[in-house]
Amino acid sequence: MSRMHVSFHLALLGSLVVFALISGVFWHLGGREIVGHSIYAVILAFLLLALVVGAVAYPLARRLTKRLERLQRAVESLGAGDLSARVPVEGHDEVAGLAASFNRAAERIEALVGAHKTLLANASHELRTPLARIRMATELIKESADPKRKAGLDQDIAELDLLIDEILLASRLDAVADVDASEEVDLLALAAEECARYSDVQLDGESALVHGNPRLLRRLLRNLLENAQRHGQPPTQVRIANTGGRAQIVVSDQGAGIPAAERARLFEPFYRRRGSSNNVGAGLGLALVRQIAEHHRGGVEIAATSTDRNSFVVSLPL
Amino acid sequence: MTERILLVEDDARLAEMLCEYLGGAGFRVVLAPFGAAAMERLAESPYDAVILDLMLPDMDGLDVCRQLRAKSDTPLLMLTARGDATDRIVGLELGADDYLPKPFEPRELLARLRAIMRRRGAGGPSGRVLRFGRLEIDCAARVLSIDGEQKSITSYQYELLVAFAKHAGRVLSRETLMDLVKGEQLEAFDRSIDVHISRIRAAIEDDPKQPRRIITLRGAGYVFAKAQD
Repeated sequence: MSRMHVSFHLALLGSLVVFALISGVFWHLGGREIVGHSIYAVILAFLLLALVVGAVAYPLARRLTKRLERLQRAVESLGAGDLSARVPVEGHDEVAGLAASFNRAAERIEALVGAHKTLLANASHELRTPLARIRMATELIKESADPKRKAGLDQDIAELDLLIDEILLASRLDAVADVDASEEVDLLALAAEECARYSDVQLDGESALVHGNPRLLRRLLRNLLENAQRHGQPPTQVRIANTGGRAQIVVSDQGAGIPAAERARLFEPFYRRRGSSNNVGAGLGLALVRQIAEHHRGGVEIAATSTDRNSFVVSLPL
Repeated sequence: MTERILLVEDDARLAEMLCEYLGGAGFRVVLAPFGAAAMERLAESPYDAVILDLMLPDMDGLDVCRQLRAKSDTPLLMLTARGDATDRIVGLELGADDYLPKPFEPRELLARLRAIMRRRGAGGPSGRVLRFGRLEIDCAARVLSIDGEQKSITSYQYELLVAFAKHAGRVLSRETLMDLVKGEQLEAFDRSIDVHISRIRAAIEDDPKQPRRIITLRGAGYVFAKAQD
């Protein structure tokens, strides 16, 4: 029997018992008597009446609470990402109206997310196909092209590809609770791979196994490292730790430090620090770091260090 | 004999450049701009390989993949511009031999195309092939190659590399590595593992001084990178 149903029924019975007691006392004090019966008999009669009313009310209350429970389960399923969750609409009362409203809202959400997914797939295709053409063309003209210009063009294509990837990923993370299946990931091994891409990044720490999407966690680490390379001062240090049931990724560099007022804003999409040059990314990298951390039930913050250093701390549940 | 490739791609300009590029590499390319046209070409005559774009105007590329596999085991390379990994996974499960996301490096397309054709030519994928970017380990043939070029290492080093590859993305201590290859004839001194690893690195790393495939973790051991290239 559900907690809600028990509380409802106890409240009903309690009210009837209190009503019986008070009525009995007032009846007696009012001088009315039932011939040959004491106040106790009157109270007993009212208590019996309360029990009868309670017994009759029980199935009614049970039916109502069962429907509310079904509605609650459906809301929880929808919140957990099952967009096909619906509830049967029974009767014509307020609960039935609520169930119908829920179904309509869920249907609309499912349709919107479906349309969003299609849009993302199409946008990805439409944006990447011209890029594939450009890359193919640079390969075909390589004999006649200035190698420096060709390298520059390849770099531009890579940057554009990364930007498309980040915009689409940010959009997908916004729309879908669970992007891909998760698996056990060793953050130390993942960090070792990503740090090996740079010559001036130092890594230390211990193995930290988390359940997550390896592709997204790789992107999180890569974005933090890219951010340190672009905006910080070398050397960059990465530390992986297990602290209080959580895994911690700390990425620090020797940069000038970030003013407290600006720390939260750095994780906003397309935010650029004043004075930063135009060719240092679109400002999506750290926003994605936050999205990915939150997607894994974790978070990211900029540590308030005593020294003047930039230090980003990601915390994820183990 | 010139190998015939069926290119299923609806983007006319990309298809034209691909034909020119693959033609320059010695292939004879037949173009099918639609899924239905691809099925017709395949019914008319056999091909040595198929390059299939997953997003076609008339039908889903995965359906083409499914129908093709029901009829033949022609080597199949998928091209996909969708960001979602699901298509790639489903495509590989349906029997595609490999996939390449757009925009791709043309030389990588060529290397992968040759690799899937070579595998089929050698009697199909009789054993498991472990692939990490440009690095390929054919477990049946015990052959190691990068960009299709075979590299030679000793039998012990090969076993060590396979042990690494099977535990990609994990931190492996020297003791664990020695345990994993303990069936092999072993120079069991601790440091000898390091020597073997440096030889493997010389074979598989672009720059053995800046290793990106087998990474040293001070005080912990080694990590074989899961995502390479």
